[in-house]
Amino acid sequence: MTDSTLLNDPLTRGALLRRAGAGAFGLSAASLLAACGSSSSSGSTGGSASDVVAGQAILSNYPGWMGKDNLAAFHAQYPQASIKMISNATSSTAEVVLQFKSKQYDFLLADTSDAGQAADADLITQIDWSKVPNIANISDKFRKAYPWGLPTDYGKVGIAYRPDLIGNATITSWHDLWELIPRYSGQTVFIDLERDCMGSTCKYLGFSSNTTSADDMQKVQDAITSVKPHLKAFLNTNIGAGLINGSTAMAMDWDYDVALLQQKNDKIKWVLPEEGVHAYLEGFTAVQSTSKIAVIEAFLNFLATPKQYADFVNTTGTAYMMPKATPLVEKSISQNPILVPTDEVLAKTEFDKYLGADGATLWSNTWNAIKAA
Amino acid sequence: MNIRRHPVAAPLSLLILLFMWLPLIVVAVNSFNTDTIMAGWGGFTGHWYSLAWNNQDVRTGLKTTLIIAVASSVLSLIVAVTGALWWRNASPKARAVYDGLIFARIILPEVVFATALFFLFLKVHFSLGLTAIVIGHTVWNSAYAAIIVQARMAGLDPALEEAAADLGATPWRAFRRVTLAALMPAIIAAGLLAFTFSFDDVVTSVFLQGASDSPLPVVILGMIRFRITPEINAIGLMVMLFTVTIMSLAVIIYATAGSLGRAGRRGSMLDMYR
Amino acid sequence: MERDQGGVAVQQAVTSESAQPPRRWRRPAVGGLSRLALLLPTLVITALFFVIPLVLIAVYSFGTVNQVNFDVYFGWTTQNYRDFTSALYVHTLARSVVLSLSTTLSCAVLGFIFAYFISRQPPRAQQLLLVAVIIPFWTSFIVRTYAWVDLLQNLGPVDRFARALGLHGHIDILYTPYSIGIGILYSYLPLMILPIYVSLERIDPALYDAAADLGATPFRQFRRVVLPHAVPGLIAGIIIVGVPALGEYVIPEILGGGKTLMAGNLLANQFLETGNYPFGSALAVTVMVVLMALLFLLRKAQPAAEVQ
Repeated sequence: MTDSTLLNDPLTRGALLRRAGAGAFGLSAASLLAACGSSSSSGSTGGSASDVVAGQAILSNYPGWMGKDNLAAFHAQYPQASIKMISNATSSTAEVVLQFKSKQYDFLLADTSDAGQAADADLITQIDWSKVPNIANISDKFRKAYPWGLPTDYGKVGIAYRPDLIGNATITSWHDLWELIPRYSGQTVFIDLERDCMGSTCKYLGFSSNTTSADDMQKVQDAITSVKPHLKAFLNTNIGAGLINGSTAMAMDWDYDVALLQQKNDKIKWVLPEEGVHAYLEGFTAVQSTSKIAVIEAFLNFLATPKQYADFVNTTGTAYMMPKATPLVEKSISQNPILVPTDEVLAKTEFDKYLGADGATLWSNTWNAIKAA
Repeated sequence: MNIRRHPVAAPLSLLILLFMWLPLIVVAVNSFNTDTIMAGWGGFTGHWYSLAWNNQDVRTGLKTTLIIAVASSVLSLIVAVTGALWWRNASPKARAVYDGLIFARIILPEVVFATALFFLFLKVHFSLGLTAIVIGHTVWNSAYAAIIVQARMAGLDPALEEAAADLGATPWRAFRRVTLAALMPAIIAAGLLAFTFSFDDVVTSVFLQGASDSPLPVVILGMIRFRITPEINAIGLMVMLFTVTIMSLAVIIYATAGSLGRAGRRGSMLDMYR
Repeated sequence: MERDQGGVAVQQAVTSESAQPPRRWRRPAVGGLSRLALLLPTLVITALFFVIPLVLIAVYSFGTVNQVNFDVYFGWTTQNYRDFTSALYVHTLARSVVLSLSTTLSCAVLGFIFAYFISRQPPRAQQLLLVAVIIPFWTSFIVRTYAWVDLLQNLGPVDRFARALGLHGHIDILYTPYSIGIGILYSYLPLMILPIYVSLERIDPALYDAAADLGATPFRQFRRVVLPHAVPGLIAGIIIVGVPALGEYVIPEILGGGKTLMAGNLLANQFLETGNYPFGSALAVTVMVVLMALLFLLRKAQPAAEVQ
């Protein structure tokens, strides 16, 4: 497959749009509005909730993280309603929560930590599921893990490696990885994100990736700092790219990234480690102050149909959660063993949860300590 | 570039110039790379340029950034030059405060300043957007501009301006022909620097943009969240070429307006007597 | 800000300054109102849009934040200041200072060489060289910095060049403090070149000839003619490069592989990731106070202050 056809491959397109998560670039003006609470609202202050699906709901979302035709098709079906999408580049939970707080938007793309904390702070509007019957199309496991709104996508963190660069050894677990890192010093890449890096380490150590125990976090800190001198880098973009030309031998990486890398170099292997993996899970959640809840509910219901959801998946290239949509999803995604949500895979996947204020602070401090070491 | 006259400085300077251009060359080369991940050279394609060119976000971003950069540079120069003129005749105490404020603006980390200005604007219900960004940029741009203009001003003798006045020139003419002309290299340097800073700024722009169109660096930021692609390199290069074109046009216009000849020359005081 | 001390006889001849003792400041001939008009733009920009936000930050530094909804409460506590005396942060700060210092000095050397070279060219060439230095910086900071990743990585152009020259193994520069240093050096070089150039550009070329005629060796010419003029520009350059370099967080993140936590990362994280505004404010205030105090001491230490 030449590279020019790759450009049309949804996996590539999707990968090009995919967010990396927290990092040095986690910035968004609106997201840092009013720690003091005041802000100028843009028409989404509470009015009477109406059952009529009319008006414009404003969505804050990653650039391009929407099906090509989703918004237009929605408007065609509900001529009096529309969705306006504002692009942001948020990464940290703090920023997303402040977006909820700022009342500038009607609904947001938020992951489990973001939505969980926002819910804790009374900043969300709970969806009336009787208005969103199509939610039944989404697999139960995802709905349970994301009760605040419509879950849209998730990403697991596993291991990618080049067997030929590590003496043809086989990796099947996080244990294998930790053992090999010092032996091939300077050739392993970790993800530069708190939840992903430390969450995976939790799996290595055998406990939940949502632990809030200080003892557990100390063990996590020790485990990472012990291999840190042998790591090539912590990266939050182009993480596995070095696997292609061999400058990296092993990487902690996301499933969709590895799926893309394999197209470039089929020597790259993906591992879903025995101990299990953690995954982020995100979706659209409504803001507390919105007056467009009817529009939002209609849109979520609309998006949860197989055809619309398939459009979303095909455009973004993400791992998806609706079995019914499979016939409509492009084969490079739906038939990729890395991405398919089989029961076996899901059994080993633990979704990130909101850790509470104290838990979040504990994780944050541990991460700081690791980075400073 | 006479190498013999500067046997040490000349070759070193050329090496330094090469050093400055190295990343640009990499960006340029990679912008034609068919390999999306740029792990190696995949072949030549102009595809990324057409992608970039047709990217509406990029075009809007470029326009927005240009407006901000020009506005901020002009304002910064005004602040810097008027301040420097005031400084000439200021008491030592006043000068100390003025200089301290310049210093403070430079040492305050941008992320702190941007956050603070952001909170402040919200408290007083000043709307975020282009104006807010321009103001934010001008605060620190004017400090850099002031340093450069001051460095130049230090060598100017106010007596010359008085002398020109004595010789019959109106105050404005004396100012323009003597002081302004002598300051011109510094003004140009300061203007270029301010423009470059504004053009490239991410932190302040992100904080103060509100719901307005994103400036280009912010657009690029959003695009690289997962992976750097040749399209981003193509954008970088296109933007650079575009800016060079604009600058060249500006220079040509300014030159044909006539005053560049005198102002551009080394502003030695002795020049006035030739 | 340091001003040119004018302590060199040669320069005095050029500018016909007389070395006035600092206390003899005479009331300016120009009227008060027009002087105020001159000061107005600066006043607006600094008082309104700089000092006030600064006060806000100072107030925040004594407050507390609700970690769930990020409300800031003004509680007048000093906890935030006490928090960062922990060993973790001191170590990070020390490392940042060392890296920033060494990078700034390298930058000063290279910047000086280049600025000197430019200043000795005919005017047209000067402008051309200046523009040539600036042009690469119109290509977006982020794109440029990632280009350095491409350049410095093992199997990248620099590595292959070094191996072609006989190096065994790889350069292993990327994702080390050295690559951070190169990245910072690169990004701040124009900032160093410009003020030095502006200072040196004032030198009348006739001075070089005069000095040569008087029998001065090239080195002596350099020392007596160039160096005194360069000092204000050098000092300005070192300050405007060295201090922001301390606060850099993007370059260490990209080129350091996230393995080297710098003071800038620590600070930025408070505002961008953790949302701990009071703590971040306390950090910022401390940095500002320390540096302003340094500036104050420097000025006091100078014998001849403002000469004009």
